[in-house]
Amino acid sequence: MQYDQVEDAGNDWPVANRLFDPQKAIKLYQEYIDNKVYAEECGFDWIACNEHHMSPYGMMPNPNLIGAVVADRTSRAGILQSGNILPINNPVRVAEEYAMIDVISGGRLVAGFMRGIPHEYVAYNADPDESYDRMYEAVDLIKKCWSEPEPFGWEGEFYQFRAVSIWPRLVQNMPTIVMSGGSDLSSELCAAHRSVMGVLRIPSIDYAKGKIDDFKERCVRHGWEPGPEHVMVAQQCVISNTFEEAKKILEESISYGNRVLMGGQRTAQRLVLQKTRYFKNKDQAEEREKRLSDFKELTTEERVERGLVICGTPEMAAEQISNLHEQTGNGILNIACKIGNISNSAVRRSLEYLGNEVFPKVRHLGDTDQVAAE
Amino acid sequence: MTTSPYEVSGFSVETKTVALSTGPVTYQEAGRGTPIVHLHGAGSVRHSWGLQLLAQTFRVIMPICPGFDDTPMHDGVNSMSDLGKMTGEFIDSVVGAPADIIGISFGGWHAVWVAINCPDKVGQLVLENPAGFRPSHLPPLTTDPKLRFREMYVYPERLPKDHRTEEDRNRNRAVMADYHPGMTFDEEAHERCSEIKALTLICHGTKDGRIAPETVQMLKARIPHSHLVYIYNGGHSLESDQGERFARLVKDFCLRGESFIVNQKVDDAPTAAE
Repeated sequence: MQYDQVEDAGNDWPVANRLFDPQKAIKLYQEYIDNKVYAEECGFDWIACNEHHMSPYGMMPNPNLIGAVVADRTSRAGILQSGNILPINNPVRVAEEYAMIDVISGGRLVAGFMRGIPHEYVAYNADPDESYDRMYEAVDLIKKCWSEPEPFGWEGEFYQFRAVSIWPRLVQNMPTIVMSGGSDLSSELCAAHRSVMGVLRIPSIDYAKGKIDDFKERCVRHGWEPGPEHVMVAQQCVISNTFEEAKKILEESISYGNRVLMGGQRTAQRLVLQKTRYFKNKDQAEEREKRLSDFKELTTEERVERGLVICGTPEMAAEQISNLHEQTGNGILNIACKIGNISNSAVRRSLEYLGNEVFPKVRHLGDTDQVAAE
Repeated sequence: MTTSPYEVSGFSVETKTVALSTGPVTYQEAGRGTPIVHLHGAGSVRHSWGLQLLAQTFRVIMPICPGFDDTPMHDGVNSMSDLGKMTGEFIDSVVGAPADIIGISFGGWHAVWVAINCPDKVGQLVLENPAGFRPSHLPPLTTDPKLRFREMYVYPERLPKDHRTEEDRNRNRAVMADYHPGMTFDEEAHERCSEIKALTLICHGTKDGRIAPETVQMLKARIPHSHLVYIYNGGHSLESDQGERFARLVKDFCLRGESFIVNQKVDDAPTAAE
């Protein structure tokens, strides 16, 4: 949910909010919410909301507010909160707000638990060194909030609560949980909790397959076998009448994103990664940097060719999704149609094409195939 | 000489004996302050990290149940209920007033019986991973020593030094059968938990492999004025695995009573006497 009404947001962190025009944002929020509701009409199984802070990169510092609105205006799709950034938030509050969404939606919550990207730790003055340990503890605590039949307390390393009994309770016994599997520790957490594992910003299909295979091995060590429904791959998507037009829209929007939306974030991220142990080891940090820069250096044609984005006509998109499924075995595809400053009409067009022409061709890909709109 | 980070500098104990109507009871004492009676688990008295931390604030009194550590059994003390009555007399003789009680595992079960049989001897009650209430629908506990060890300790390196041999430990475990032959679920105690008047704190380690969450949830539901607190990353041996968290929680509970749920630094908080 980008704020795409600026042409230069600088490279400082945080991005000065004098650049934010609330009058323009009224229309933006309306469009974004309408598009999420429309995604259900187009056949999406899940509708996703994510959390980002203090920059035009995202206007959802609390995605649960948007999730609640979308829950109220839809009737079938799962509401994927993808998700609250657990290490910088109060886990009991997350448990409560997610439970509210579950009740408002009649049991459609899909609970995303994220560690977040580095700049969020600067935004909320949280210690990046603690991110994994907080994440592990917060997941356990939230699940306790949802499963305990009696009031309880929690004496932990980071969280101490002496008396908890959340109202409302969930409609579901335990919602599907979605977490990122980008690092060893994240993947281990996914496997331990039998959650859906998501891979995003993939520089190659081999990279995604490696992550998925690693996750599956961890699951076996934890005594269970994941199916396609436990693997989610995220991709950006532009569909238009011709490949050339889709390509032009995608390139312009990515360029805008890199030039305008990411400046402040990059600054904060550089500081976090240089000065802290946000990643547990240097190799992991370097791997992430390399992954992002490798992806950045690819042309659009190369990205399409390698199966890293969905771009082109509806026929091409269906084929790209089929290929991705064939190679990774993913049962869930997280599709981002709003990229950078892509226009609302172009987003709607992609959604329409997906609903009318693409999904009918890819739904047969495994019984559990699901698509989530971001 | 290096000291373990899981030991409290200057911790020391005195061993004493008291004559009760059923026989002599050996006990240990550590620390000064408000008395707390600490009832041991199957391994008898252990000077765990958490216990040593509590002794910085409290006078911790640790009776050795008859039969453990080769002490003599008492005539007429043949059940958990009998043990509860005997401990009521012990509190009378050694403390001379109602005392807070902490019971760990087997000691938690023991403490339940003290609270049922001698309510006027008990101040507040802390049940730490209490044994004796394993629901029948759960599979039996393993007797394999290696598996049992893994279920007991998340951080075995934090265990206190123990002079006992494996044979000593096995003899201690065997003594438990004299009080509850083959019993895994104490129907009578379960039924009578609702009679407990003491404000009760039930602690459970999130990685306890011996006591099921269902047990502590059931006790929370049965004991009228009770709180259940999970100690994160604690195994069955909470006091050694998570000594600091355990001591912080129990100290707060014992000093502040029901207001321990209010966030307040213990050192700033008025004591019960104030």
